[in-house]
Amino acid sequence: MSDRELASARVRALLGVAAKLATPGDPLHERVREALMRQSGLSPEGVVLALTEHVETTISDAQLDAVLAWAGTSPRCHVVLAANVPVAAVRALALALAAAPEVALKPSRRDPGLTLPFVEALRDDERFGATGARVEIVHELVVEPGEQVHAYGRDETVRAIAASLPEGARLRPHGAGLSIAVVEGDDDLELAAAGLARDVVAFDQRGCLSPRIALVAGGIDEAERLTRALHLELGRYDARVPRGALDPAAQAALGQYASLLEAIGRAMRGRGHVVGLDLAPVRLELAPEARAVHVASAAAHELAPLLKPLARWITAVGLGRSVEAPGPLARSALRLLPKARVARLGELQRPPLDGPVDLRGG
Amino acid sequence: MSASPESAAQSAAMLAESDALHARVRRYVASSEGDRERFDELALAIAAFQIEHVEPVRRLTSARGFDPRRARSVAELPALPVDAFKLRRVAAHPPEFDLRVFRTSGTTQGSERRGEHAFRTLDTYRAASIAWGLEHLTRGMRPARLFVLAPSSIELPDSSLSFMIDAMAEALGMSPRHLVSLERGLDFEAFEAEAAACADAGEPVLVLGTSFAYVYLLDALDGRSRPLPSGSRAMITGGFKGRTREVPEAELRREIARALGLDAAQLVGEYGMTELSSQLWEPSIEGGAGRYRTPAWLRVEAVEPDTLEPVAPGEVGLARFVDLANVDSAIAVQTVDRIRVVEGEVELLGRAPGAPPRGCSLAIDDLLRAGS
Repeated sequence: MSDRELASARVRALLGVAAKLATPGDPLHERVREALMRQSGLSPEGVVLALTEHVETTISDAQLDAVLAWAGTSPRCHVVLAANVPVAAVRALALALAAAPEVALKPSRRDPGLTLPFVEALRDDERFGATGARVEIVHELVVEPGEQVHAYGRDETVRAIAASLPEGARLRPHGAGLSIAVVEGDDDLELAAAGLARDVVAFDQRGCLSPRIALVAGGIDEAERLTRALHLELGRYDARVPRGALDPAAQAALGQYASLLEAIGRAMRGRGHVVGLDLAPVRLELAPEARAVHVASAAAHELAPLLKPLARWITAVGLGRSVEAPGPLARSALRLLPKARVARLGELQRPPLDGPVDLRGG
Repeated sequence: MSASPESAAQSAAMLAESDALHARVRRYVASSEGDRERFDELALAIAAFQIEHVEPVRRLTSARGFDPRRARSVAELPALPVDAFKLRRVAAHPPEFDLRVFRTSGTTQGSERRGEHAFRTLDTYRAASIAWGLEHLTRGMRPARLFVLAPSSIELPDSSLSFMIDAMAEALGMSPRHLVSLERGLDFEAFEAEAAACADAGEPVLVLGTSFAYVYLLDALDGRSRPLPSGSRAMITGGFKGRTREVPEAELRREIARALGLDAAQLVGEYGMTELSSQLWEPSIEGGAGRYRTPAWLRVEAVEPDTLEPVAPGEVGLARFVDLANVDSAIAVQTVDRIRVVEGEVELLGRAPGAPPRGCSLAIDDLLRAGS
C-alpha cells in the first residue's frame, strides 16, 4: 500500500471504532458513557447526546481527500487535547492518524474519561491493528524536529506549547474560539431557533463550535421573536437534556449577565438557560458558556464595528437558512470572517470530517 | 427642531425634581448625624426619580418587579450592573444638558468599552468628595504644597479622579503642582526640584497620585529616596490596568513609604469608581490602614455572586453600592469587586475571577485580557 492508502486506512479504521463508541449497547459506548457521566460535568442525557449525535463515524472520499491534504505527512504526530468537548478526541485522532502512523496523545489533566477507553479499543481493533499504526498515551511532550504537534486548548496553553517545541517541529494550533448565529429577518425564525438551541445544548456550549451570540437582521420585532422562540426551545431541552451542574463561578457569571441584560434589554431565564436580548447593541456581549445566548439586532451595513472586536475568535457561523444562499447580514458577516466554518443552524456542532473544526490556523 | 411645549414642560419638571434631590443630598452631606433625614427615605426618593427618568434603571427595576412606593428599604432596590455604564447612557437628562462626562480608563477592555457617567451638575459630586476626602487626608495637617501625580482635570476632563483632586485642592485654597501630564508622563526633574525646595523649607507636602504614577516615580528614583518634610502625607489610589509593570499593593506601599520617608499612617488609600460620585477612604491617620471607610451618604454591602443576596457578616462578597450622590444616574450599583465588610469598614480584595475557563471555548476573561 502507498503511504496515502495507509493513511486512508488508518482514518477509516479509527472511524470504525468511533462507530462503536456512538452505538448504545456497545461495550465501548457503555464504558465511556459511564466515565463521562462521572467526570464530564454533562448531565446523563447530555452525555448520551454527545456520544450518539456528535461522534464522527463516517467520511466521504472527498472529505478524506481534504483531510489528507490538510494533514500532510509526518513520522510522528503529537496531540495535546483539551477537556471541554469530551468527544473531540475522535476527530483529533483522525487528523493525527491522517498525518502519521505514530501518534502520541496527551490528554488534559481534566480528561473526562473518553481518551483511555477509546485508545484501548483502537489497540484491540483488528482492522486498526492491520494498518500498523500506533497510538500511545503520554503525559509529557517529547517532540523531535520534523514531527507535527496538534494542540487544542486555551490560547495561553497553545502559546506555551509553541514556545517549547524544537526547531523543525510543526505546530498546528487550535486555540480558543466561539461561534455565532446569523439570522435574516425573513428566515423561518422558529426553525432557526430550534437549530440554534440544538447547537447550544450540545456539550452545554463548551466548545468553539458553540454559538454564544445570535445576530438578527430586520429589527427589534424579529430579534424579540427569535429570543422568545429560542427561550421556548431551550426550555424544552431543559427538561429533555438538562444542563450539567454549574460551578459557583459560572452561576455567578450567568446571574450577572442576566442582570445586565435586564437593564439594557431583556433576559429570559429558564431552569437551565438564559437568553439575553440587546435592543440597541453598541457592542456584543459574550454570555457565559452555560447555555446562554446573547441576541442582538444588527443591520448588514452596521455589522463591522460590532463584529470586529470578536472576529479573531469566531470559529464558525450558523445561518438561519441554507448556506448556499446566505442573506445580506450573513454575507456581511462572512466577509469579516473569511476563515470561519459556515453551516446551517442545527448543524454547527456536526461539521463534516474534512479537516479540523477550527479553520483559523494551523 | 424645537421641543414641543409638552416635552419642554416635562423636561423642566424633571430638572426641577433633580435639583430638589441634589439639594437634599448636599444638605445630607453637610449635616451632622442627628440632623440628617433618613437614608432610606432619601434613597427611595432618588430611586423613584431614576425609575421614571433613567432607562436602564427603569428596565431593571421593572424586570424585577421593584416598586419604590412599596419598598421599605433601599436594600430591596436592584443594583445596576456596573457594565451597564459601558453599554447605555445612564442618565436622567439628555446629553445636551451634560456639564461633564467622566469615563472609565478603558485600558482593561479596549477603548470601545469605556464606561461613561454623565453629570448635569458637579456641585453634589464636589461636596461629597471634598467632605469625606479632606476628613481622611488633611485632618490635623496644613500642607504647604500639593503635588499631583496625575494629569489635571483641564488636561483630562473626563477623569473623575483628576476632577476630585482638583476640587480638593481648590477647597484647600491651593494650586496643585501637576507632575504628570498626558504628553510628557512623569516630570521627574520637576519632582526632584520641588521636593528639594520643600525639604529646604521644611514645610509639609501633600502628594496625591495613582498607583501606576507612583511606580513611574519609584522607577525614576531607581532605589534612591527623596524624603519629604516631616508631617507630609501621600494619597494612593487606583490599580494598574495595564499601564505599567504591576507591583503588589503591599510592596508598592512599602516602597513609597521608604522613598518618600513616610510611615504607614502618612500613606492614605482612596477607592473610587467612575460610576460612583462618592469615595471610600482609608483611615490611615488614625492608624487604620488596610480597611476603607464609607461616608454616611454611601452604603456598601457584600453580596453573594450568584444570588446577589447579602452575605453573612464578615464574609467575602461582591460590592454593592448605594450612593446618594448618584442623583442623576443609578443610586445602586453592582460591581464585580470582591470585598469584606468588617465592623462597618471595607476590605478591598480585587476583582472577582470569571467563570473557570473550559478548554477551547473562549472565556470572557480571555477576551478582556486580549483587549488590554
